[in-house]
Amino acid sequence: MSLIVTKQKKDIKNIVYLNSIDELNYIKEKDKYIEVGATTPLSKFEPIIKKYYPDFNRILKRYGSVQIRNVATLAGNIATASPIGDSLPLLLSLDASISIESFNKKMTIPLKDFFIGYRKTKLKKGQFISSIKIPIFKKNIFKAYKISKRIDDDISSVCASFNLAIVNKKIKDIKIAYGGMAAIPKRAVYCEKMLLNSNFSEDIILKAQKSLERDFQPIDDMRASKDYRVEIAKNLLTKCFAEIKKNKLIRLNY
Amino acid sequence: MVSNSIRFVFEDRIKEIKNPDPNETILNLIRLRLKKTGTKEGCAEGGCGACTVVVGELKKNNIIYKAINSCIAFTTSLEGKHLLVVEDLTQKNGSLHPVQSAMINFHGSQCGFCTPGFIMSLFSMYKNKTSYDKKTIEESISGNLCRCTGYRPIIDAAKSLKNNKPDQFKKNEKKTISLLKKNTNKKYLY
Repeated sequence: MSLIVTKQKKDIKNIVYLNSIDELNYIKEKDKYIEVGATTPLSKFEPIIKKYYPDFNRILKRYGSVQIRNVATLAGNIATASPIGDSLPLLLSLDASISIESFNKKMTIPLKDFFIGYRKTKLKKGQFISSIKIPIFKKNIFKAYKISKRIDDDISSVCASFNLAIVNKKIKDIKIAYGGMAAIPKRAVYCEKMLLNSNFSEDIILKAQKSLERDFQPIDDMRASKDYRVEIAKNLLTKCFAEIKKNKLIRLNY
Repeated sequence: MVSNSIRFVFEDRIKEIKNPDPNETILNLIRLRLKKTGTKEGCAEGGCGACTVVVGELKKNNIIYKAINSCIAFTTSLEGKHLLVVEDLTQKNGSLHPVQSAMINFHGSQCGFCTPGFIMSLFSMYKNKTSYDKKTIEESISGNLCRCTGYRPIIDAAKSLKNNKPDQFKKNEKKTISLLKKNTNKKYLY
């Protein structure tokens, strides 16, 4: 947000600095979910999320430097609503929800309904995000990938996140989300539909790759061309399943 | 008390800034108002780490030190905290902090522009970690760019650190804690 001042050379009239509110700086670890207070810095969140989703922690290490992660929060990343905010596809595939508060009012909405357009959210004047709830999928496989030109301290070209269960060789409970593929961080609903309840096979993965074209029509920009984005999105899907196969998390029916 | 000033601990005293400008970055506060020019502006967008400072926060009678990018943090966020800039690491008698000595001994500085930022990141590592292996060092300086010395001598300097003697901040901790408490115990009435 400070870039509005330092780069766009605009003046901000008033700032309410929520990060000083200690009551919102907490992490609750429950049986079925983790609740993260809005002002909890990423550096405090990392060792906790690492226990449940190691890939989430791996992406956070590349989210920004120590200096950034000491200040940055999940809530800030969500409210900014950048299509390339690195925590967003991960939270989407984990079916996270957020609590929004205003004077005397509190409501909870699924994160997937929060983003409505390029950097536009459902947050209205007088409202703020107070906490984020991340479900714990004990039996699921969670994978996340960030593609950027440099490893450290770089902006994603594409970020992908997969959360699925394998029950009797069938794909169940699958949630896939991508960043850098649309104006908002978004779930790949057609791709999910294609894979849900199907047997693991090369054929179905090819079909699922194809359905990503229905899910996303990305743009060209300085980080990646649209063709590259589509290609890498497809390849990350394959990579996810290839890794699952390699780690013998499932037997493929080739 | 409704206050139109912010107060933070700086140089062993409580520093008060009256009517702070919400658009003033900590970097500008340090360089232009506090007249400490050791902290540098590089990219001005939180990428290069030349502006790194360390902010101390009181948590349950302990001071937690964190490296932050002062170029993208606003002055008002310092309320109730302890601000440490590169000048604070050298004691009044001129003796250097172990992190500074290590950087000299291992030739970790050439043109010098990135050095204060590296010093502060390594100082934060020194305060927060107990062993300094390559992984810890690399993560600690992942937000600092150097374009001439190269990272090897800096990493060598960091590897040589041993946190077996309390530094001046540890020795001064009680006083700092009491200042922070005095400062955060203000009651606000709405």
